[in-house]
Amino acid sequence: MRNVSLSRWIQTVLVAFTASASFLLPDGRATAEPRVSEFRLANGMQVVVIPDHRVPVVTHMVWYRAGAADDPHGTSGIAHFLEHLMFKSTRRMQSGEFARIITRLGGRDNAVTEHDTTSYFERVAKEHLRAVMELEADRMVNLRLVEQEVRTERDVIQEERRSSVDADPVSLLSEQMLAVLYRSHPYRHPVLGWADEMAKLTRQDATTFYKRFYAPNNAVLIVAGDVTPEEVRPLAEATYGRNKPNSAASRRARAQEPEPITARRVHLQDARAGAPVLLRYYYVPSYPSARPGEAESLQLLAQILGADDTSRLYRRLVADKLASATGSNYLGNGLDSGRLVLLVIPAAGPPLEKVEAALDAVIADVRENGVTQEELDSAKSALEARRVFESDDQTSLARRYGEGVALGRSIADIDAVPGRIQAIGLDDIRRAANGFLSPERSVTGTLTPLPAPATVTASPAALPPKR
Amino acid sequence: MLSGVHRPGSSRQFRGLVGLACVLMALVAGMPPALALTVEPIVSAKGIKAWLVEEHSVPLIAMKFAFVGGAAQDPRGKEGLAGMVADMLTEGAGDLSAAAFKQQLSQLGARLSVSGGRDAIYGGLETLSKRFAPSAELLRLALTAPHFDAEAIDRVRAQSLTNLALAANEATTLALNRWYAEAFAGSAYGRPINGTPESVASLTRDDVKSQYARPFAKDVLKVVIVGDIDRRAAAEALDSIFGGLPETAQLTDVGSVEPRPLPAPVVIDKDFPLATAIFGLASLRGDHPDFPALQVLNHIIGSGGFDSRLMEEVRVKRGLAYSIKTSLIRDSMTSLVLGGFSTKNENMGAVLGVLRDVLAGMARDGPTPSQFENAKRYLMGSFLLDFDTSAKVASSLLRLWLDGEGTDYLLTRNQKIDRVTLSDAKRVAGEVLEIDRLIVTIVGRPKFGP
Repeated sequence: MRNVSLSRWIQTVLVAFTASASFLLPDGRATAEPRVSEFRLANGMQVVVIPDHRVPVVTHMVWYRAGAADDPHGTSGIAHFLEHLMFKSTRRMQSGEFARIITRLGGRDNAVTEHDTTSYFERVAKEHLRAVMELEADRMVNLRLVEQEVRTERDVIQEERRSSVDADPVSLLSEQMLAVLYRSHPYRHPVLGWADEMAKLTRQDATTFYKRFYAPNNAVLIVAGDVTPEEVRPLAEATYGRNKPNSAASRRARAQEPEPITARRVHLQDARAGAPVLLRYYYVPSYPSARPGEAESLQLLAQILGADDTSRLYRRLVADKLASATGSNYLGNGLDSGRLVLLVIPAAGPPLEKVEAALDAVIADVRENGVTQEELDSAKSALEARRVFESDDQTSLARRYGEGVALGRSIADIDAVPGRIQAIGLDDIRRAANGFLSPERSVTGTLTPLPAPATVTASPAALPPKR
Repeated sequence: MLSGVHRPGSSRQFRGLVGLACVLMALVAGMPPALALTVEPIVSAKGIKAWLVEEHSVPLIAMKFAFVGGAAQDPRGKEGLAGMVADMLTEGAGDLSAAAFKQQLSQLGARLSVSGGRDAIYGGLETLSKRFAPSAELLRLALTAPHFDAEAIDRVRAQSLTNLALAANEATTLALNRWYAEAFAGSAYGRPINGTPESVASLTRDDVKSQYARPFAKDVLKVVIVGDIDRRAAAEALDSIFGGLPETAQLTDVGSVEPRPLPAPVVIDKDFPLATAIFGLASLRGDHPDFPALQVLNHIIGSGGFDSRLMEEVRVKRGLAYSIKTSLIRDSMTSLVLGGFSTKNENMGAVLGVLRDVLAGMARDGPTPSQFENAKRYLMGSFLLDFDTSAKVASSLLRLWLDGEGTDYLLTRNQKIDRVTLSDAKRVAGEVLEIDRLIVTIVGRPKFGP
């Protein structure tokens, strides 16, 4: 994609759920990749240590094997709501104390809820590692929810939804597309939740979710930075090690997604759309769910189809003045399945149908004829460089292993991905394209402006999800 | 779906501003962890000035540079020209067609970007160190031998127009552009960086060529290099990339500008369920002796953390908004305290009321001793956290340099914060937080009554 200043929301659609594609350096410089080690506490909590001694800072994360796809029926948004409530009081801490302590330590903290995981992280100077471990271990088991705080925070999550989804037609379109792409699997429900259900979430809903999923034996601790495993182990035992495992911290039981048999479409007409947008999602395997080589092939396919100004989509659509910008991404970190995302910002002038036909022609060509050796080599080279950029970023590294291990992957499996990508051949790419980029696995979304300005007709209420 | 980040990142437009403000935060108090970074000022044989950080543990090199000038130099009626010139640099150069140029870049896996900012044209090159030489050659070609093909200009112009259309109803963009337009009415500084549909439609190949001839020169260039490269190789790279540029830029003196107060909020009427506001005031220049005190104050008021006054009053206590924060913005032309939030239309009056109360209360009473101490400890303790990737180190250092700091800033920063006293903070709050001078722009259909 050219470096156009695309709307941040369009970028959100593209980067959401991003797979951390991984590549070894062919010249084998050991320094490019960290030496990751792993151990387990007696209570079942997994610990991963990623040394990075460049600055005396640590990144500390706890990943829970629980996310929005585990929201019980009718309470969409509860995983995310609980994530907000985790910043309130515990049996040992006053409300607001957590933030004040992190501030005094000169640290940063945040949390992210996704469909399969919920993660909490802090970045602090290394001497404060023990302090953040105490805080995080405390709220893992000692959360105390106060009714009034729960009610006020429920207003906040509704504000969050209004400002980040409802205010933006591309996000609304994407949300509706997911609800159509998945017929049964809970990825069809938005992480933030459906507005009407969010308004009814209760303290009891949050407590039930917390008691079911938040326990050391359902969590992964990541410490990246200026530490050694020998330093981390006693600290982890003295903090998280005190928490009792919860045998009821259940494995997830999720609805299965049936094999797709029809292509689907979603169209949103919205006065706030400044220009048309064409989005395409394909239902594909993810790294955790794929057979060997499939996820790697999809990663390369996404790169070749739309990653930059040399991609198939750019060369065919932008050169022919059908599109202003194009993009793609492989979202390969879903526990149960992944998505391949294609984006086209049509040029002013040509009808949308013509733009979509050109997109379909690009896909049909790749499904039938595969890609060229030059394209494949170039994609491998680009992904190799991306891996090194990622390894330069302590937070990205921590995410790579935290998310992977939380999804049940081994360190060895995560580290083997680069080598597996380098081994992908032209036949693998063609097989993946032919097998997974079929119309019946897809949903096409179009967004168009209303001819008359300043009347909003589309809202989540107007397009209720099928439950 | 990466959703539900607990503490919201701000909009894309805003992120630039916030990132800039982050850089203003500083080193550790009392016992600062030794900063492993050593910043070395270097000058190449052909006179290119750069800051170098050697870091060999990861095999990549990040270079960031700025040519001071930027969108404020666009001729009147030609707003968006700086951005167009920047875009055109990578659309064919030297003996490479646009397609060949991009093909080489893609195969190298290098990240090369040039973009037009308000006060400078910014660029960056990130590459594996083993692929640095061919990547640097592409950058040299882009800066010194761009083609400006008519066909590519037509395409880039059309793309810019589409981007403007996409952003036409983006509330934060609208509110921010209007804020600058109101605050700097009549000044080149107040115009939209990306231009308007009318101004962009009017941009011609001649405009691009004549504008290109003005800012790309050695005397307005600042370069920061971070990564797996030694001093000698860095100096040689500087000469080979930038050595062929003219000595002197042809710039119009825009001077420094001050925001002009507005008597009442300006509303851009849009039938949106949420109202989005940008608010701001004149700030102190970065070299003002009270600037560190203002940094402490800004953290207390609007860091965006749950313990900042605005978040506590607006979000934690009242649930009125997901996020409200303020940043200190400074560049070569002006210094601002700028903030923003979104809320339901019917709550706009309430949030503005809280905002005014918080600012007025701070101006009158200053921070409490514990807020003050916590903020200082945060600012001193967190400085290091921004220096975590080579590209971020390079961007942060470039910003500091543009702000007039020296390479010793990393060492002196915390001393400056540490010296701020509570009475300094109170005095500066009274001086800067002039609530009557607050400039507010709002997009939506806000209600101000109870």
